[in-house]
Amino acid sequence: MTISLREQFGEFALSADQGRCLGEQVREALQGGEVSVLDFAGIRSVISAFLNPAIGELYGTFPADVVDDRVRVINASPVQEQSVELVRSNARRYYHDPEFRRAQDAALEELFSD
Amino acid sequence: MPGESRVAPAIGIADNARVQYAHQAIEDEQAFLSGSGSFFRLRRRVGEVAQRPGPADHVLVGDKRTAGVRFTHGFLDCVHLPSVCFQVGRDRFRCKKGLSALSAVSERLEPIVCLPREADGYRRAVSDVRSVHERVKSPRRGRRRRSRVGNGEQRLVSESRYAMAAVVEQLGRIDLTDDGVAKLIALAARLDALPEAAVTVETDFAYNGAFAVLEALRLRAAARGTTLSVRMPQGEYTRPFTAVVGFGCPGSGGATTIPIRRFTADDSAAIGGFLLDEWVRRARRLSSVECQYVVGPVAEIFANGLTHARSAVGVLACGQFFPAKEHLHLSVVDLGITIPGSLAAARGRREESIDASRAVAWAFEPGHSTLQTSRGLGLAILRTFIRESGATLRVYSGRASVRIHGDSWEAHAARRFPGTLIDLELPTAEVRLPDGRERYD
Repeated sequence: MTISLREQFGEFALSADQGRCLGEQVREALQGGEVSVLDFAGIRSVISAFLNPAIGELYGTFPADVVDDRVRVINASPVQEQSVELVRSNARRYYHDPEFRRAQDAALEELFSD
Repeated sequence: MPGESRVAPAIGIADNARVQYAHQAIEDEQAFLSGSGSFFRLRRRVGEVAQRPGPADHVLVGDKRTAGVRFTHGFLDCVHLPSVCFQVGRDRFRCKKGLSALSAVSERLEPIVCLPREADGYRRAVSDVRSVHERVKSPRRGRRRRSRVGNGEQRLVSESRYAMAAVVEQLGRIDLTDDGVAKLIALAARLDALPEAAVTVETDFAYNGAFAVLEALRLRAAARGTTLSVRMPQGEYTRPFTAVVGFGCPGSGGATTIPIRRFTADDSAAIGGFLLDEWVRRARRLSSVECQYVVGPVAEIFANGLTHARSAVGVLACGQFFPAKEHLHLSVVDLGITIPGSLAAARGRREESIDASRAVAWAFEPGHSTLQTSRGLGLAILRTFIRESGATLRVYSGRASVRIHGDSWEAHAARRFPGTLIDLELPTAEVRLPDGRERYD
């Protein structure tokens, strides 16, 4: 299944709501064993707030190798590809590295004086 | 009222409960004003009348600073009355919440009313106003202000509904410095303490981001019946401030300024269009690819504000391009939950209990988010962009005041900003596309 982001969301992928919408489509495809191809052609800007729910959160439901293999990106600019890879690596770490979350929590707790 | 004089009064006082305004030119438009917005509209009506050409057929009672209404002495007579409740003819025009309101705003309460010069009540009104004013003002040491007023005036005050605290805040220069932001913070606190007031900010100069803050404050204050206007050497602006941006920088012209925009929803097209087509395009030396490279990290600021702040006024932004320095400037402000406040709330704690500047530093680390999901990249991406582009970022959020430039991170003590203000200064000559290395580790 190929999804054109330009057709669905316009030139900009800057909204978390749009990301959630895309994430649902990809989730259904993955559940059916399909490969999802996300076509970034015509997208002028994309941000992590869009990519996290669209791709990153899938790592919380499916094994990392499944998402890596079956959610593919095409026609993305180098900067956009870099953002997608960043979201993937952050999600892998968040969902599959408990130590990362513990360290994050501990760092946050240290900020409080009471 | 119509028919009471040669020229119908612009403003009439109808009864104890309502203010009625009528004008000859708009006889069909007579309307009754009531509720918290009434004074607001009354003042606007006075402003409209004050700008009409023609003979001086009305008197304006109040200070010329009152309500931000522009008028000339040749057109309207002015009687300076710094603080008073007063009576006009058989009707009464008074302070709304009794003497507590008077004491709250002290000497700065400046009621305003407009009467036809020929109206029977005119001379008596002025006389009454002065009389009541003198009695209210006459000091009797050791007694509360309420007791200084005779029974008649006491009733006037206690029954009153309409009042206006006309306050002028002189802020001087509002630069993009901690001092400049401190002035805005103080103004925000002042507005919070003055419900249903007319506040005029006098400033010699305000950087464009200050107007984004002022516009946000204006929107928040308006919801509570307070108006905010700005008086600058170039003129006086009541609303909106979108037209003001750029006036603070003589010579820059409108071509380099990016007027204030307000975003209330997570709207991709609006935010992307603003950043790419209105903001970054001003820097003509940047290619379209470079523009797209710049916009991505900067758009994260908007997403962060709209996701976490839940600001009642939304997220406001404006900017400017400085051709001589080739610097592109952007200010983004919300008046919602601060970054330290958001972190504290996620732990069920009070904002005061968190180290505000360190909280901002925590939020800029990759993967750090209060949302229980794989998030927390937006500000980290912005941080990396700042480091690589030579830009400077200033963040004011709650009690946090942070300046980020390159690898340096400076935190300053600051008064509490009632939301988050992010100022970005980007030297466009230094923008380089990433070279492909892993940028965010």
